[in-house]
Amino acid sequence: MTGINEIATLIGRLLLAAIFIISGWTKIVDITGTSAYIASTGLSPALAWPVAFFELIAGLCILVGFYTRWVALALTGFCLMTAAIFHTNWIDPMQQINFLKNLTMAGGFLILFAHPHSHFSIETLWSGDEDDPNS
Amino acid sequence: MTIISGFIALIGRALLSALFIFAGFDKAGDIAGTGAYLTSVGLPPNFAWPVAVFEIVAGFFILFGIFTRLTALVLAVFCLLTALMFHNDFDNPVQVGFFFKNISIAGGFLVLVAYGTIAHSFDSYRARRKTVVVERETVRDPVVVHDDTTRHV
Repeated sequence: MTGINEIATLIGRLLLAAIFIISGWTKIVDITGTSAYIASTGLSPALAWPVAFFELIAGLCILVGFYTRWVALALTGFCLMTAAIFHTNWIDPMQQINFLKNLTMAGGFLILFAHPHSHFSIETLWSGDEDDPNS
Repeated sequence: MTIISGFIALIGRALLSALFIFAGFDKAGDIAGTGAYLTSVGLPPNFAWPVAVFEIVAGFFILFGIFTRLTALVLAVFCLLTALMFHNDFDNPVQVGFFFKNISIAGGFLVLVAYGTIAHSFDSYRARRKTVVVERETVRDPVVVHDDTTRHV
């Protein structure tokens, strides 16, 4: 049954995914800048490509509802890790806000992890069972 | 809902609420600064108190699960509005980052709207109490209870 909840989840997934698709793409387009940014925190600049692809692919997975539960969990970890690594300079109020926004996004993904039964998703399409996408 | 999912959703709610509780208290602690910030986008500075109180109250509602669905919907709209009004300087990459983070947070709240009544919340406690009260009244006076599904049989 398609109701207001299913539509809200679909829009919710779309909004949650947007930042990762866009920032993944931005990272790929400016891979040298991404490497420099990653290197500035003491991490290996070689992480730039994997991170860019991870963001892009994870974003698309959430968007189309592909392994929603596990991708949401991975993105929760990603949001928390990037908050802890990139946004810890709390003397700068902008970084403080970024840290908290990452935490909030992680919370959104945890809710999605707990309730992955999403309509309009690849999972429901494949299982052919509209009521239980995880069956 | 499994026990683990319920617990994870609780952590999710705690994380979702943190930003608003912190930012609300931040705003309440520096009302003059908040007013100036509001003025910079053309809003009246006396919005500062309502916005600060709204953020704190809405944050605690999400944390404790009070009117979760309604609060989550209001916060989703709040995130989208603030993204459009405060973070629309697309020449500044920091603001672009904030814009899309707000969009993403709104998405999280929409998922919460869809699955509002979740475990470990005031809402679920209220729902349980309601069931208990109905059961008690049924025992006391069975005639009062009308079952709509059998009425037309």
